[in-house]
Amino acid sequence: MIAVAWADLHAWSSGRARFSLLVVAAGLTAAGLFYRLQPELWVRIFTICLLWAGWQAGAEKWVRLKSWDWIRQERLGIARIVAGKLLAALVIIICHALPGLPFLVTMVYVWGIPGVRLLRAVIFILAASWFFAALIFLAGHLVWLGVQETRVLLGGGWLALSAVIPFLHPLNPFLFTKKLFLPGLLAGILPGVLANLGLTFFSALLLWRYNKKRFKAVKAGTGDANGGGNSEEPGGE
Amino acid sequence: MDRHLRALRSLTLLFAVILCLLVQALPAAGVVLTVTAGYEGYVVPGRWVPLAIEVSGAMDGWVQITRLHQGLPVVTEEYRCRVEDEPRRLLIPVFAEETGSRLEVRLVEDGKVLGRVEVDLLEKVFPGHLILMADLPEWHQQARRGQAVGPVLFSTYGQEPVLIIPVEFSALPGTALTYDGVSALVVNGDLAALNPLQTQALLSWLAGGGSLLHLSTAGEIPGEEGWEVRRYGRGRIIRPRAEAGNNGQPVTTIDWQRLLALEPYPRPLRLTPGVVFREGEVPWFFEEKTGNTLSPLAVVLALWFLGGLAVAVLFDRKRTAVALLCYLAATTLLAAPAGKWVAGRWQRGAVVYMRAVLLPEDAGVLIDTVIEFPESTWKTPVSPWGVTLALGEMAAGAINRAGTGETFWRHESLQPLMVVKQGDAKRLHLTGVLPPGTGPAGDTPGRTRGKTGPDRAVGLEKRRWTAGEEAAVQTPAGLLSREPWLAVLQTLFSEERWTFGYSDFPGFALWLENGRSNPVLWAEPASSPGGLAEE
Repeated sequence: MIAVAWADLHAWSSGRARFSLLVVAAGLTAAGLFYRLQPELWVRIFTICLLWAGWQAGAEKWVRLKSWDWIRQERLGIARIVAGKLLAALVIIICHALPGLPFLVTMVYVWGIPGVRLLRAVIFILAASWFFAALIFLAGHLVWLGVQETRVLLGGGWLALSAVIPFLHPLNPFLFTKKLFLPGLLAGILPGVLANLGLTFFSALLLWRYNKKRFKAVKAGTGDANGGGNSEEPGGE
Repeated sequence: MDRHLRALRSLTLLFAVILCLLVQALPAAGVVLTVTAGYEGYVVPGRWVPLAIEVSGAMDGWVQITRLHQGLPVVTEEYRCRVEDEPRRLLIPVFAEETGSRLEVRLVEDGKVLGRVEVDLLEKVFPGHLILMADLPEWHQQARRGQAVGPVLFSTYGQEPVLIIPVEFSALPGTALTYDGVSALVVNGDLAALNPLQTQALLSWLAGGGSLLHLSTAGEIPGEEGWEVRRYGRGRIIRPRAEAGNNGQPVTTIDWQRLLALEPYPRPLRLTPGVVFREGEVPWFFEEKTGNTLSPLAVVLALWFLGGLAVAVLFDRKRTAVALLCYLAATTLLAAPAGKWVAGRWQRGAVVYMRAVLLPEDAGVLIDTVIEFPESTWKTPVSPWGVTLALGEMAAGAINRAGTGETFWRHESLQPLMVVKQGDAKRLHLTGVLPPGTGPAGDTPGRTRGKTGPDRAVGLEKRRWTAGEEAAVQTPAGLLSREPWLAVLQTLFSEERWTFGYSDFPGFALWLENGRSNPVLWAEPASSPGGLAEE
């Protein structure tokens, strides 16, 4: 697990870290200038940045050894590979949140928003982005449609669904954080964070079960390749 | 045997713990709160009145005065209160709105409310001349014999009712604000017995136009011609002539009214906070509102990004991550002072309007401040999270603290410089009387020489001044026509020649978010040869 995570992080830091961090920093700066660091508006861009980082990490954009490469090596169990990938995704998301720190600290003084609200919001966005990464990672392994379509369907679908259904509002990173960034009763983040973490775990579980079955089938020669999973790398099958 | 002993010990320990908890939970025993508004309960509407709060019983906490609007608290003022053996009496000025004011006074210790009293300020309204009489002379006491106990109401002088209220010499106010509704003071005794605060309050009130009838010789009943009238600022000090002696005729109320120059109501003759700061609206004062931009923030953000870009470009690939992390740590640490700086300049979008009237004889400065959050617009955004304020070490507060809607003002001293006039979740209105020696920037030498006006009028400048910056002189052309408050002053006190200015007040600074001090628009009722804005 550690090896998988380390490999991903190393690949990201040596390859695309500078670019992706600068993109995030530029986005946050532009939003800060445009919205004058108004908390409830600026946080939207912050959330978009972290979701983007989650998407990239989930889609294994910045890695050299993709999940199927690890699976084919047969030296690691699928569960460990999935866990390692998700751990790397979390670290990458946290790294992308770091450029937001000076903005958040400034916001506390300039706008007077209590720091505890910011802290809660950041924790919630991190959890939501991690689940988003897991969802995209899962989409990359599903065989129903093309990979990109599945990712858009799952990722976009989740954001749209959680925005439309009132019951799911506490899980939506845009709606819930806006509530935290405006005056009023301080909403508890624990249910939202736990739900997001639970969904992340569930996605990982699904991924593990799905890949396990499929890998067995491939090995037994009854399966059809990787079914489009990680379609950027179909040569493995 | 041992088992019994152990059980006994455990029980004793348990009882001791329970007893400690009970003692902690009980409110301070015997704390009594008594509240009286005005003088003998009488209040002049639209003026500042004293609120006498008496606390007996040991306590160490706060006296909270909450202004209620439709039964709900809108703004709270707090005073430190520590009572040991002797009962404590606080005389706090509160503003009696003409439309009615309800206050709730609470005694709070460690978050627990020990006592609570609700006061309706307009329960006993007196819209006329209120005369305080300290230590009644013997002949007046005789004259009052047979009358009902309480204040005596005379309404024989024109159409103006006059109310005479006896007060204890020691109970005379220690802050000039509480003299706001008092037209005249009759004192029978040695003024040297007053403490410095009482003396200063009396002088400020006199300089603004109060009338003091000082019967210094006990038992002496002066004749009508036997008075010596001396001017002090806009006020009058009337004393019996030593040679006049006793003509056997007690002075009638009508004589007093003439002597004390009690003009028909509502002609305002005195420079008092209730009169000179009558209108509560914040005027559109020059560029004040449009100045609330966040350009300093833009500069800070742009510098941060460019710095990060430079770090990413300059360092080679191996060191980029470390360099970026170091840069990030540095900028995060710097974000606190930078944020404070921007917050101080922007003041979270609050408009601060400070105006002052310099009393003659350098007897102090009447000062009024309105801090208001206007409607938020794209051009002038306003924080929904409120703003904090501080008046040096003396007092501090917040408007809409952290977005909770709570607005309060806390005094660390029992001699408040500025007290709450009104307030709610979007504004705080403070009024006070600054001590002698306070004045506009660049005016100190003139003031210490005892002149009644500044050496030069400090002009108006269409820009923000930072603390300590020298005020530039500029002709305030058309100032009167653009500033409604000054126009009102001219109308109310048409017999005066006014000097106006807009500058810092050294020694006085109301800080918002540890930011810059705000300049004060001031007016002085004195002719000044060098004044640029004399009318």
